[in-house]
Amino acid sequence: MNATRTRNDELMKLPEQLVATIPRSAGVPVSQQPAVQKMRLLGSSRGRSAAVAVLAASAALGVARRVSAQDESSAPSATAPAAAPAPLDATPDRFDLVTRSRTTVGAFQRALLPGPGGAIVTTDTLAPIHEALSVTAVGVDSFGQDDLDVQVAAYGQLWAGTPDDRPIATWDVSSAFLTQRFGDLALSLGRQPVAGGAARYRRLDGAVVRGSTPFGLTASAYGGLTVLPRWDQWYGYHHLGDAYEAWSSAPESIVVPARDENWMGGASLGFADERVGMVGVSYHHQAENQALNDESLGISMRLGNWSPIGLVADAIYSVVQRDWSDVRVQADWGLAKSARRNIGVGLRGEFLHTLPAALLSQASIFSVFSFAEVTEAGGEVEVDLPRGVTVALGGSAQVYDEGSPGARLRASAQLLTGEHQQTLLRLVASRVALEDNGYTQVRLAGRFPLGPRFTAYADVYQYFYDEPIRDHDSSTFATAHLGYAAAQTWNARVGGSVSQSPDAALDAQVLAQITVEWDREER
Amino acid sequence: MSQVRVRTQRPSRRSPLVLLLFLAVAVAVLFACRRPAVRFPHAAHLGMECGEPGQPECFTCLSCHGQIVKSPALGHPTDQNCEKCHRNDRHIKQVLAAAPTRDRQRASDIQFDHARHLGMPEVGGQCIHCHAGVVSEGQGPHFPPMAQCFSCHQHQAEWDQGTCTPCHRAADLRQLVPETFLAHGPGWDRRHGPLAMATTVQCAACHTAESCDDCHDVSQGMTIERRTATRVDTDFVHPADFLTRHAMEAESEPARCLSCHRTETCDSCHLARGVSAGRIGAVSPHPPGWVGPDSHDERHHGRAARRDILGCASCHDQGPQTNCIDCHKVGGSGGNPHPSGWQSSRTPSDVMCAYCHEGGP
Repeated sequence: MNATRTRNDELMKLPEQLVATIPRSAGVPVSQQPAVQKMRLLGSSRGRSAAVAVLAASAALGVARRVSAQDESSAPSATAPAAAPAPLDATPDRFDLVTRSRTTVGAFQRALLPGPGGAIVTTDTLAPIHEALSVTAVGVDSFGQDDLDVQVAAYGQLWAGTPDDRPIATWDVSSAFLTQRFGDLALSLGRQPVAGGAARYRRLDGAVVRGSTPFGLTASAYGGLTVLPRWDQWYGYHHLGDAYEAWSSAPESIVVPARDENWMGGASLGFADERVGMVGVSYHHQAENQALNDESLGISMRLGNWSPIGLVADAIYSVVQRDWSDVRVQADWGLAKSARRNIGVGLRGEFLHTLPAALLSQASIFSVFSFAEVTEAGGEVEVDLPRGVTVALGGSAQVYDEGSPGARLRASAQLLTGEHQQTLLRLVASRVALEDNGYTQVRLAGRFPLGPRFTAYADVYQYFYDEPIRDHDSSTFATAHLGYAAAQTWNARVGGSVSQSPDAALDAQVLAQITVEWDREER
Repeated sequence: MSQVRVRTQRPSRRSPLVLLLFLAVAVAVLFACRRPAVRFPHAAHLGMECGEPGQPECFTCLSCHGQIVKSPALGHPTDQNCEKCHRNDRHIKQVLAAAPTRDRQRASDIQFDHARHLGMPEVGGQCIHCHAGVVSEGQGPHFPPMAQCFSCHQHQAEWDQGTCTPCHRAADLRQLVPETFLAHGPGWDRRHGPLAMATTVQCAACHTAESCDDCHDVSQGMTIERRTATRVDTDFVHPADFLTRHAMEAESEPARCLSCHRTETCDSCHLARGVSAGRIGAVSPHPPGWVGPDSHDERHHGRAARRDILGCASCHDQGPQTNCIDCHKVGGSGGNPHPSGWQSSRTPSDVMCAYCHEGGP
C-alpha cells in the first residue's frame, strides 16, 4: 500500500539497551496516559453533561479557547517518564475540540445556450451563500476518561437572486452523532456515515456498534433510517418538490418517501494487523419505499507489511442479482527517495469488473434489464525526480460485452519548488475514449506564494471533444484565486472563473470564502 | 432579464480562452524560476579545514544547534553563533531570516526528545543519521520521514487503536499529510473505500465524518470543487464544466457515479431541463431506428441499453410509468428484456416485478 514500508519487526533485533530508551508512554494507549497535549475548554468542564453542554454552547457561539502555551509547558513532557494517571475526579476534563466555519459567497452570471429544441433560455444572475459549520470533540470524559466523542456538521445555503417560484434557502445536518467507548466496544448514535465493504458509502440516522479485540479482530453492526437527500430544496433540482408535478408526464409515479420505509442495516467482521494485513466480510441490506434497494455481501482484503507489494482487493456480491456487482483489485509497489537514492518510483496496477445494473437501486426496473459488464485493467507509473519534479503516466483499457472498447490515458508532470515547496506547477493531459464520444483534456494548474501571507492559485482546463456536443467541439474553463492566511485560525480567498462550453456561451463567476478554524495551538 | 441570442454559426475550435493557457504557462514559469532564498551552506561549514593552528575550531552540529537538546523550537541558531567568525551583519541576517523549510515546520510538530536520542550509543551524538539531506543537498530529506522512526520503534498497538499521540499532537493530525506510513499516494481515491471498512479507527485519527461528507454528501448545494477551488494539487471528480462531459464520465465509470448519486439525481435535473422522458412535451433525442423491429441495427436502443443502462435510467426511471414497460412487459411487442441466464432472488410478491408481470412473475 505504501511506497515506503515500516519495519516494526526490526525493533526485535535491537539491543535491549536501546529498547529501554523508548519512552514508556510510547507503548501505552492514549486512554491510559496522563492527559497531556490536549485542549481544555474554558472553565475546565468536567463530566459528560457539562462537556456536552459546553460543546453545544461553543457550537452556537463559535467560541472555544485552547489550552494556553503556559498550560502546555506545565503539562508533563511527551518523552518524560509517564506519571501514574490521576484519578478521574481529581483531574479536569480535557478534550480536543475543533470548531470550523466555512462561509462561501459566490455570484455568477451565465448565458446558457439554447435549450432542447432551440428553446430560448434566459440568463441567470445568482448569488449563492453557503455556510458549513462543524464541531468535533474527541476524548470527552463520560463514563470513563476520554471515552466520548461528539461530531456535528451542518450546512446551509441561501440563493440570493432566484426567481420567486424557486426555493431560496436550504440547510441540513450532514452528521450529528455521539460515540461512546466502553473499553474495546464503541457505540455511535445519531446521523452518521457507514463506509466500506458492502455498504460502500451510506448515511443513516441510527446506531453503529463497533468492537475490537487485542488480536486485531473487529466487528461492527449498524441499523437505522436512510438519510434522504434534500433535493427539493436545492436550486435547480425539483425532485420531491412541487415543480416536479407540474412538469411530469407521470405525476402518479412520484413517490414521496416515508422515512420509516427507507431503512438500512448491516454488519461486518474483520481482522486487521499492520504486519499481516486485513481481511473483512460485510453484509448490507437496504429498503426503499417498501421495496428492496440493495442486498449485498462484501469481501475486502489488504496485504500487510510483510509483502513488498501492496495489494488491496474489494468485491461486492449482489444477493439480489446473484452476481458480482463490483470487483476491484489494486496492487502497488514503490521505492521512496532516501539518503542514498534521489529518485523514487511507484508502480500501480488495477483491475476492475463492474455490473452497473446491480449497483442501481434494485427497486428500479432497469436493474433487471441489463447484465452488461464493464471490465477494466490498467496501471500507472510515477517517478519522483530530484528538485521536486514528479512525472506520471497511466492508463486503462475497458472491455464491454458488446461494441468497441474504451480507454483512459493520463500523463502528468508536477514541479514543487520554492519556500516550503509551496510553489506548485502541474501539467496534466488525459484522454477518455468511448464508443460514442470521447475527449482530450489539458490542464495547467499552479500555486504561487506571494509573500508569507498571500498565495495565488490558477487552474486552466481545455477540453477537445471527439464528436461535437451541441455543435461545439471544445470547452475552456479558467479559474484564479488569491488566498490570504492571516493566522493559524483563519484564512480567506477571493477569486473567480470564466468558462465557455457547449452549454454556456459564457459563464462568469466570482467567489469569496472565509474559513475559521479553532483547533490549533499557536506555535 | 435579457435573453440570449441563438447562436447559429459554428464556433471556432480555438476558443479565445485558450490564450489564457499560454498566458498562464508564461506566468507560471516565471514564478517557478524565481531565485531561491539564501540557504545556509551546511556542507561547506562542516567540511572546512579546522582544528589546526591558524584554523577555526571544528564544528559539530551542536555547535550551532546545541539548544535543540532543550527544545526543538530553540534549534535554530542565533546571530551570535555566526558572529563568532563572520562580521557581515546584513548577510547573517539574510540567512537567518530565511523562512523555515517545510521540513522544519513539520518537524516542529513532532514531540521528539533530541537529548535522549543523541545520547544513545547507536546514534553516537551524530545528527547525520536522521538529517543526511542537510549536508548532501538533493540526497535525502533534511528531516527524516516517519518510516525512519519505525526502523527502531514498534507501534503496533498504537496502529491498532489509531493512536498517534504523543509523537503527534492530536490537533496537528488534521493538518498533516502522510508521506510514508498510510501515504495517500496515486490512486488513493480509488482504493480508500475498501480500506475504510476495517481501518475505521485509523482513519478517525485524522479524519472526522465531515471528511467523508465533504465529498460524498451530494446534497450540499455547492460542489466540493467550488468549495475548495484552491486545491490545485488535487484531481477532483467533477472538474471544470463537468456538466458537458457527465454522460461520457457516467458511461466510462458508472460505479464511481453510483457511489454517491442515485438515478433520481440525474432525472431531477433532466426533468427540469426538459430532456427526461418524464417531462411533459419531451422531445426524443434518439436517432431514427432507435425503436423498431430491427434489433440488429447499430442504432437500436437495445444495444445501447445493455452497454449503458445507467444512461437509460437517468431519464426513463419513472417506476410503473416507465415507458419501457409498455413494450417489454409480459406479452408486449418488445420481448423479454432479461438477459440470458438472468436470475434473481426476488419473490413473486416483489412490487417492482409486478410492473411487467401482472399477477406476479
